[in-house]
Parts: sequence; structure tokens; C-alpha cells
Amino acid sequence: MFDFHKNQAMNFRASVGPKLFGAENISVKFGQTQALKGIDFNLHQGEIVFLTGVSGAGKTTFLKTLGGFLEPTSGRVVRPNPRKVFTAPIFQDLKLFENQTCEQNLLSSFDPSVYKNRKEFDQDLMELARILGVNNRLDLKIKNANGGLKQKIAFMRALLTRPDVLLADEPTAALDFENARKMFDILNLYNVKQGLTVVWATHNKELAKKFTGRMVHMDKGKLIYSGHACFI
Amino acid sequence: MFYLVTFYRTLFSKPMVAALWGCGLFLITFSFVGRGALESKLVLSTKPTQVNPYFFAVMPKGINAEYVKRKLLDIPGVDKVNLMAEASIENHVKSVLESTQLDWDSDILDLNYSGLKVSLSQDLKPRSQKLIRNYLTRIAGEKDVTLGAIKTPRQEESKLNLTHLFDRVFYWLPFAGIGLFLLSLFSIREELGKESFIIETYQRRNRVFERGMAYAQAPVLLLMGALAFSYGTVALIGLGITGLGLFVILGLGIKSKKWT
Repeated sequence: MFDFHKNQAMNFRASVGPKLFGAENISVKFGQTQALKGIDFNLHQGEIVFLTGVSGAGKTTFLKTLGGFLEPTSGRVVRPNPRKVFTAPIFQDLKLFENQTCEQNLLSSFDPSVYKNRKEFDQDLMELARILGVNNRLDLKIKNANGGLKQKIAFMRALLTRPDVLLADEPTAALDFENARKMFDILNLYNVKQGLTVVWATHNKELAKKFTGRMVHMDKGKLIYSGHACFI
Repeated sequence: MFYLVTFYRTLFSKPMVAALWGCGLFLITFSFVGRGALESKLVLSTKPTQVNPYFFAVMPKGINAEYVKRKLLDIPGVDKVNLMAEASIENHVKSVLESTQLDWDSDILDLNYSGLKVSLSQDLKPRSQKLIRNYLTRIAGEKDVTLGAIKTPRQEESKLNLTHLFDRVFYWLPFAGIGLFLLSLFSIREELGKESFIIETYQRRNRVFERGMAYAQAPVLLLMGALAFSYGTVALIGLGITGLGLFVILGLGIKSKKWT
């Protein structure tokens, strides 16, 4: 796949390409609750975007709407053709099968149209597992795994699909800074080598500031800032 | 193959549901093909040795019972004639005498009788039965022979009841089987929905739930179709109900496919 350690210190970005996703004045309402209010947003190929905001700001709703898991009440979301641009989500509630082992959960990502054979998939899986330090815990059932391990498995499952776009909803909520850093470095590497586009939602603004990327800040269902982290 | 594996993996992850599914399939198949075998086995095992109407004839030992038997067997309407054992006749006579509560002395009673059990053909008209009895009276001697009443064996009745029971059981069995089968599918629809959602989300595939369900049920529906053509209307009704049920489950499954 790649030599992670050699590339770990990279802090440059893949060049930004054409627009992939577009949100045009989207609003989402759950009963009487207005979750999103008139959001305009564009996501270009190769971008890394940190979506920040306090809990309840609408980050998850926005990501779900962007990914097509939720239909907006009004407005329009422009998405790329899924056959050409594959989008993998990391859900906030992870959506792992509790009665299956970590490895069995990861096998959900084995797509024969992406990998030449199972061996190639296993190589990628073991490489990622080694970097994240979970290679000796793959036989553990999800119900017996701790929160950090679960998040790493969900992260691996999304990356093993070899996606073009990753929509990650709080992927490091149960992880310490070191592990969060590791994940970000992996994404960074995928971004540089394969042009991976990332939207990373986090309520931890400080964490986002430590990584490089565009920051989009949300508050009360509105998008109030989009730009470099240093100006927020 | 992938869709089949997905379906069966989900099914067998819930052993109880898998057992329901298996029972359902077994009942459906058994209800169409198992009746003949089971009926013949059960009916044979409960079949009486003598099911025809019969009567007893008692006559003194001086009369050649073998001769009477041969003559009776020559005439139409007589199915079988059995010579009764001496001891059994003696017991019969004694028990009859005892039941009359009369004073009697066994020494002065002549208990040297021979007996015949005459089995008549089934569906023999009363007139023909009477003719046979008259013939027996004539060849054995009117004064010497005593004839019992004609009896219709009870076993015959129980056999009829069994057939009736089989009719009822095998009428409802396919419905019970289809019920279990659909219940099992209904029980895994949510799990399969989740599994499909994850596969569709993390692989470049779509309609996994529908395909899994359809691929897994196709052989079953084919079997049902084949049975329907072989066994007629009931199987067609079963096929119709199964098909309809599948559509309902598919609809429910598609609705519950979003794991949100």
C-alpha cells in the first residue's frame, strides 16, 4: 500500500481539483426542530475540510445530507456519480456489527471490483492494522472491544474501500491526541498519494487547528465560517 | 453467490430463526410429498387383520367343520373362514352362561363345540348376507348350528377417522409451513437490512437486500412451483401466499434498510 513511516512527516496537500459536492441553500427540519438553515457549501476534489462546531450545531445532519443518507427539506445537494466517485462514510455511531469480530466487520469492505484478490485486501488490512496498532486485536468481537478500538475499526473499514471521498463524523471522539494524529497522518497520506477528499467533523476546534486543512464552522444549524483555521 | 452467502450468513447468525426457516421449508415440502408415505405407514400399522363384516357360527363337534368351511369358501361373498380354537369356544360359552346367572353344572353340559368365524366381503348387501347365513344353516343343519349377529369391525371406523384426520392435517400443514417460513424471513429482515446497508455503503454494490432475498428464495419458489404443477391447487395457493408474503417482506425490508 504505502510506507507510512517514510511519509509521516508530510505536510503538503494534494492539488485541489474540480467541485465534487455542492450544497445549495439546504435546510433540514425534524418536526419543529430546524437542524440546518440555508447552507451553501462546495467541496472540491483533494480538499481536506474540518467541520467544527459544538454538539448540536448540525454537523452530523449536514454530513448525512451531503452523503445522501438524509434528504434536505429544502435546497439541493449536488453529488458526483457514485460509479465514478465513491464516497465512504464513518458514522458517529460507527454502525459495526456487535456480534462479529473486528476482522469480520472489516470484510464488509472487501469489494472484488476494487481489489485484484483477497490477498491484496488482506495486505492493505494488515498494513493499516499495524499502523493503528490493532493487528493483534482483530479477532476480538466488537461487543468486547473498547471505544478506541471500535473507532479505529470503523476508520479502517472506510479506508479499505479505497474511497475517493471520506465523510468522517467524529472519527476520533474516543481517541487520545496521539491516535487522532495517526489517523490524520494516514488521511493526509491518502490525500497526497491518491487525491482523497476528506470532510472531518469534530466538536474539538483545537484539534482541528493542529491539522492542516480548510475549516468550516457551524453554529445552530448555520455555516458561519469557511476558511483557514488560523483566522477563526 | 455473494448474495446467497450474505442471506445465509445473516440467517444462520440467528439459530432460532434458521430453525424456523428449516421447519417451514420442511413442512411445506412434507405437506406435498410426505402424505402418501406417512399415510401408508400409519394405516398399515393400524390396519386390522380382519376388517370385513363377520359373524360367528357354533356347531357340535360331530359336524365336520372343515367341510362346512370348504363349502362356504366356494360361494361368492365369503371372504375368509377361520376355524376357532376349542379352548376359546369353551371360554366363550362359559362366559355367556355365567352372564345369564343360571344354575348349571358343567359336568352335565356338553361343551364339545366347534366354531367358525365367517368373514364376508365388504359392501355385501344384507340380502346376500342373509343368503350366506341360510346356506350355512342348510349345510350344517338348522337344529345344530347357532349363528351370531353380523358385526362390522370397529377398526374400519378408526381407519376412516384417520383418513379424515389426515385430510384436515394435510390441508393446514402447507399453511403452517408457509407461516413459519415467512415468519423466519420477517424475523431476519432487519438484520439483513443492516447487513445490506453496510455492504451497499462500503462496497460498490446496490440492491443487496432485494437480491439476497430473491436469490435465496428462488430455489424454494422453484420447488414450490414444481410441486404446484405436480400436486395441484393447494400447492398453487401456497405458492401464491409465499410469493405475496415475500413481496410484503421485501417491502418492509426495503423500508427498514436504512440503518439510521
